[in-house]
Amino acid sequence: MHVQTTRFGSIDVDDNELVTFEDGLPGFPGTRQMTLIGAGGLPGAAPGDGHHTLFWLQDTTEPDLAFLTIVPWTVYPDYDIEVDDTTLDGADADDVSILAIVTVRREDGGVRLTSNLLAPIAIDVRRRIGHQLILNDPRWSITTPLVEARPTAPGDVPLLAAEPVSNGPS
Amino acid sequence: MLILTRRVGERIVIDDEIVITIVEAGRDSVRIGVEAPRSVTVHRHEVWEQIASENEAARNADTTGITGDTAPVSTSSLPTGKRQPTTD
Repeated sequence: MHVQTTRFGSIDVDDNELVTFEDGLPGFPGTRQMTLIGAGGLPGAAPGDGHHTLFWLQDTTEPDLAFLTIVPWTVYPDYDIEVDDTTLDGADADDVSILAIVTVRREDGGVRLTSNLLAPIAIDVRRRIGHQLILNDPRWSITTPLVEARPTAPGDVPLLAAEPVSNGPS
Repeated sequence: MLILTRRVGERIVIDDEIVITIVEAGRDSVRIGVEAPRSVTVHRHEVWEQIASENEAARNADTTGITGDTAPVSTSSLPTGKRQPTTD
């Protein structure tokens, strides 16, 4: 299907690659179909090595609704959310993928990225259903620091150059 | 909204499988026990509101200078499993 997006223009998405969020997300109610767009990786965040560690989760009906997400273990090796068959409506744990939504705040000329580790996105990649979990674990924060950059000179835009990614669209 | 008066130790049953127990009642607060199937999510409302608010803040992040190439990818490119330390 053709998906109109504010960020990426019109993109072609295989119908088999749509992820259904039956309950929407907190603040974004209603059943939603989202699709994944690879976005490379953060500099210095293992493992990279040509694989995406950042993904956009793009809504298929609201062009300007997209969330930047990260594979949490690439930067938070101690993150140990337990995935079992109650995580996602009976999904086999081996089919469940976890992503954390990243918030980008630009303030005082700098840029600060945080990850929502308290409410990660779980996706059953086999059935292609998704849900934003709310963990009951005081170790994880809604605004876990990810990366921060200050401008080196007044008016400078701090750049966090992305790692090159070799495995293009599949 | 249905409003019920309950005493400490009394219960409310919702949909035959969710049981709410009034554990303790004080002047300004009550302690409430919730028994529900694991598939039912129970949260303090303010936590849900914080997450909704953070989702709104995260929506359409300005990633100028942050993210790299962008192209649709398959869900099969996501790492999965009980513990997902890295992709490979």
